[in-house]
This record gives sequence, C-alpha cells and structure tokens, in this order.
Amino acid sequence: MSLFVQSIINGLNQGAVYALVALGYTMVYGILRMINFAHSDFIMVGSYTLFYTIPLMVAAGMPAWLSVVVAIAVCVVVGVTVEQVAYKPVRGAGSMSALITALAMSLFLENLALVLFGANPKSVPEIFSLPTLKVLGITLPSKYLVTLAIGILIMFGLHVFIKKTTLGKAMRAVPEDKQASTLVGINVNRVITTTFAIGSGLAAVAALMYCSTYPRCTTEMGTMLGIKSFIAAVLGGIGSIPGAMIGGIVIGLLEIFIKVYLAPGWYEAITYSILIVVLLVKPAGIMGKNVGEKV
Amino acid sequence: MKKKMLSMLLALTVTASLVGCATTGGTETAAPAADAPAETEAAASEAPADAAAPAAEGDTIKIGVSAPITGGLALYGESAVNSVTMAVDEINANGGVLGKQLEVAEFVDDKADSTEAVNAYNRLVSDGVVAVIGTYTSSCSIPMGERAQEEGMLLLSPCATNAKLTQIGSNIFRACFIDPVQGPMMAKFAKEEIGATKAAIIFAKDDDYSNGLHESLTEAWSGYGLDVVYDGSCSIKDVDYSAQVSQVVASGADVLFYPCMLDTVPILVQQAREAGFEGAIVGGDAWDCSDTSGKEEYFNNTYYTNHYAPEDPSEAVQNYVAAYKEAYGADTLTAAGACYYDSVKMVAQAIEAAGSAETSAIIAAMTGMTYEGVTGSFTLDENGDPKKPITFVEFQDGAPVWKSNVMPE
Repeated sequence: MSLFVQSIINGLNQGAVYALVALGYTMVYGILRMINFAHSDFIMVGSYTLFYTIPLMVAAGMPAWLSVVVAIAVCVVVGVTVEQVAYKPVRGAGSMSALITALAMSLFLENLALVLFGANPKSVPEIFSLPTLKVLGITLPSKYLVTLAIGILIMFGLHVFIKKTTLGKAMRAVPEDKQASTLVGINVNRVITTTFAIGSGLAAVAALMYCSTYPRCTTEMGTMLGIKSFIAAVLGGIGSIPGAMIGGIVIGLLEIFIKVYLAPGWYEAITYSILIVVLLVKPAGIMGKNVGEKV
Repeated sequence: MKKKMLSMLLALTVTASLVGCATTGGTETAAPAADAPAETEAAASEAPADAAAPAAEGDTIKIGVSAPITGGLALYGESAVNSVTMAVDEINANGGVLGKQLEVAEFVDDKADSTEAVNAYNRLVSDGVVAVIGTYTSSCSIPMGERAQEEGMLLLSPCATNAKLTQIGSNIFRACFIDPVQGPMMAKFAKEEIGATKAAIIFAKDDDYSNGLHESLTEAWSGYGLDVVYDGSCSIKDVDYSAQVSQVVASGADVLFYPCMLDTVPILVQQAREAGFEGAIVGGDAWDCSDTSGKEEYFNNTYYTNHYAPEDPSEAVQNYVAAYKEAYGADTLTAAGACYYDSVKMVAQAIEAAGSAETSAIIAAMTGMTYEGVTGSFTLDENGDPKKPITFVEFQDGAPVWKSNVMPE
C-alpha cells in the first residue's frame, strides 16, 4: 500500500515537471499555431545558467533558488532572440517552414552548448534544502510539493492572464485572425514576442524544478524531456493551458505506474504509443476544442 | 484541415524522435566541435615525438588510441589521453621501442557510443597503426574487437570488463579484471565487509558492462548468503529512478548494487537517499571519480570497486600519480587513465619481446605475457584476461577512501 502511495507521489512529481514544459509548448502553439521544438533546449539553457549562477548566489549569501531570476532573464533573451532571428523571417512562409526552422534551432542550441559548456555532464548543486517528510513508510521530499505547487500556480496565473488581461485577450485574438487583429489595433509582432518571452521564462522555471529532482545538466538533456512533454501537451490538448497540466500529470503517473506494476522496460514504448492513439482517436486531446484552424 | 494537421503532427513526432536519436547518438554536426580540443591535444602530444624523430618513414612505430573523449564519460577520456601521452613520452625518453620512437597516430573519440566506436576503429586502421588501444566501455570495445579479430589487428582494451570481449578471438586482450570476477567480489564484499543480508540491484539493460555485472552478480550473490529482494533495470539515458528506488525501499533491502556509469551515479544516489534508502550502495569500476559535490552526505555508506588506488604506497603507483599530478593536476586523475597508461607500456613491452613491430608478432608476444605496472602485476591467461587484484573504495564525506586490494580466489 505504501508503495502505491509512494508511486502516486513520484508520479505527480515527474508529471509536474512534464506539465511545466508542456505549458511552454502549449503557450506558443496556442498563440502562434507553431510547435517550438527549441523549447526543450531553452530548458537546457536555463539549467546551465542555474549550474553557473547557484554557486555565485550561495557565495553572496542568498538562497540558491533565487538563481531562477537570472535563468529567467537568460532564457527570455535567448527565446526572444531565437524568435526575432529565426522564426520571424519565416513566419509568412507556412507552418512547415516554421517547423523545420524550430528543429534547426533546437539542433543549433544543443551544439552551441556543446562548444560553450563542453561535453562533460554538470552536476547542479542542491537548490532547495527542505526537509523530507516520512509518514507510515512513505517518504515525501517537500521539494516535490514545491514543484507541484509552482506548476499549479503558474497554470492558474497563465489562465487568468490569458482570459482577463488586455494583452491576454490580444493573444487570443491573434491566432483567430492576424489581419483582423491588426485592424483593431493589436501589435501582432509585440504579442508574438511577448508570447515567446513568457514561454521562455516558463522554461527557466521548468529547469529549476527539473534540476531540483534530477540535478544534472547535459547538452542533450532537453531531447527526451521535450518529446515526453510534447506528448503530454498533445494528450491534454495542445493549445489548452489546463490541458497541458493534466496531460503532464497523466504521463508522469503513467510512466511511474508502468515501471512499478506493469512492465519496467516498456514504459517509453507505452508513452509513445499514447501519442499515436491520441492522434488517431481524439486529435484535439482531453481539453482541446475543435476550432476552425487558420494555419 | 484537421486531417492535414494530424498527419503533420505525426510526421513531426517521428522527425523529432529521429532528431532525438541522432543528437544523443552524437551526430556528425556535433563531431567537429567536439573533436577540436581532443585533436589539438593529440597534435600537441605528437609534436615532441615528431621533433625527436626525423620525418623519415619507418622511424616510428605507430599505435592508435580510442577513448570516450566527449560525452558522459569525457572525464575518463581526458585522463586517458593524458596518461597515454605520458607513457609514450616516458618510453621515448628512455630510447623508444626497438630503437624507434613510439608514436600515437591519433587519439580518436568513440563518445562511448558503439557506432562511433567502429568509425573510430576504422580511422585508426587507415592511419596504419600496428596496434589499437581501446576503448573504455564494453559496449564500444566489443564491436571494435569483432572488427579487429576479422582484420588481424591487435586490440588491447584498457578498461572493458565484459567477459565477452576477449572471447571474440586471440587478437583481443585487456588490461583490467573481468565482470565474472568483479561481480562475485562485490557480492562477497557486501556480505563480509558491509554485513548486508538482503540485496537489491538496478542495472542499465542497454549497456554491455552493466549487463555483464548484473549477470555475474545475480549468479554469485546467493552463494555468498545474500537474499535477492529486488532485481530492477533502467536505461543509460534515464534520469528518473524514483519508481525503482521506491521498490528497493519497499523490498527492505540493506544493500543496493548499481553497476552503471559514473554520469548517472550522483542522480541515482540522491534519489535513493531521498526515497529513504539508508543501506549501502555498491557500484563497479565505472563509479570512479563520480561527482559527489553538494551530495557528500548522500554518498556516505557507498562503495565501489576500482582498478587501483592512488593512495597505494607501491612504487609504481606513486610514481605514476606524482608524474600525472605534476603534468596535468589531480582533477583528471582516474583509474581509467592508469589502465590506459599500463596498456601503452604493455604494447611497448610486447613489441620489445617480439623484436618486431609486425602486428602478428606483437600478438604472439602479448599472448600469455607477464607485466608489472600501476594497476598490478599479472599474467594474461589463455583468453587474454589478466588475473589481478580488485581495489575497494569507500566514499567518506564525498571523498574516495581506499579500503583494500583483494586478490580474487
């Protein structure tokens, strides 16, 4: 029984990380109708920033997690630069060009990191020194709660931001009709840049959560994480913010439960087959709406 | 429109996963950047040899070296390059081999990836080497060994412990102990030195080294009175072990074997401790130089086997350690480096004994050779495997502390 509860806790923690990454995919897709494959590499950038800034923070007598501020700043700069340099010029050229550019950016960032940071994996220092709770044979590191709480908080924050604020409304208007948005006075370029800034900032937060549980950064750390989170985003309904959260948690729980109770070697095969099943059966995902696409 | 979107998404995912494979496998795009530092080092190391020996063809004896210079095991690769350079310089300073200078044709990077390893091997052979020293991992050495045996090339692996390697054929040798010896010794150590009774194991099912140790451990441990309570697996690219370690805790194990590579060791140890596992964690020789920084407390009560201990007072060890530290500092001083160092000296000794730099003659001289070096004194058996002592090391406050050298029975 305690193993069952423990697996739920582990699954929620892993799921929360997937969900945070999936939020980034969904954010950009919801507004731009483009899948930003470089998003997972923004997380890599964030993680390396944490690796290099945490010792400085600690030396300055500040809590290690404050490094996330630097990481957010770096990720926003990288994200917005990528958008301006690589995505903006091909924005009119159709979704396939955008996609190929995104994949190219992803490879570029990974190889740039290889040159800058070297191939040796880096071990990230401890971020949260929080106590671990032990009840009835179940261990619950409190940082798991922090991860989950941050995930939920960001989801609600984004949801409110998109639904209630003027900028959020503009963000929803742009994918509906770019020309009409311009006519009513929305600066489409600014909306898109803001979207990327928010998405990249989310990547930095995801990096913090990821590194607190899996304290290692490598230049290709984003690859697997990105694919899994993309599946989570599709499962939840890509473009939907609560959907990304639900999708992430479902994938996280599923992987842990398959590893513990079903077939440990099969968990990745099952995760990938979920993607195929979702696309065949319910392409809009759990929370997605079938709206008229204007690709 | 929906259909189109759907098929596009599918295509995307396939592409994405392909890209994923390609990048993790180390694509050619990654290669130039990654190779650059290694090649400059190689070039630098070749310089003195070239300077000492005039350019005339036939004045040098060329050997090839493969090591994981980039990737998760880059630390070992760097150490290997340094140690080989050191060994070659020492040999040449003492008059070389058969009156000729020994030269490393090239340091090739196998990235600890089996596909890259075959490419690396082919590159060395095309350089016209008389012997290949390589490589660190079993997963890479085995495909290299298969090629070497087919082509009549000598392959001496410094650190691959999987038993299958030298069974490929008579051209394949190694400078380290093998898993069927290492595994039982780990089990014995856990039982007798740590006092464990209930054992659990997590191994990487997609790694030859990990599989070899898993096999020999699981065969041996009941013989040493250990109850097997959990036998689980992971993959070399996993970062989440929470499912496995929660089962280890639930199984009530008091020792956990983790025979995997150093880059994943800190994550596993941290997750096991966070899951409430307080027993001993025992690893193999690929734990050498694991990064314990910031996790010193988690690493208490962990042990691993190794090829040698730098604290060993024997003269050969102390000379090597002092020379290495002086030339390259202590940061990259690894057992892998010591094994590569010994490998170069073994090849040189075999060439001297053969009286010829013909590959076939060197193979004949290396068969059954007796050697004394940094990682012990040994005679190669009929498979080309040395019988040598195994070093046990314990982490205390994050620092490796030498426990003992044990000769397998």
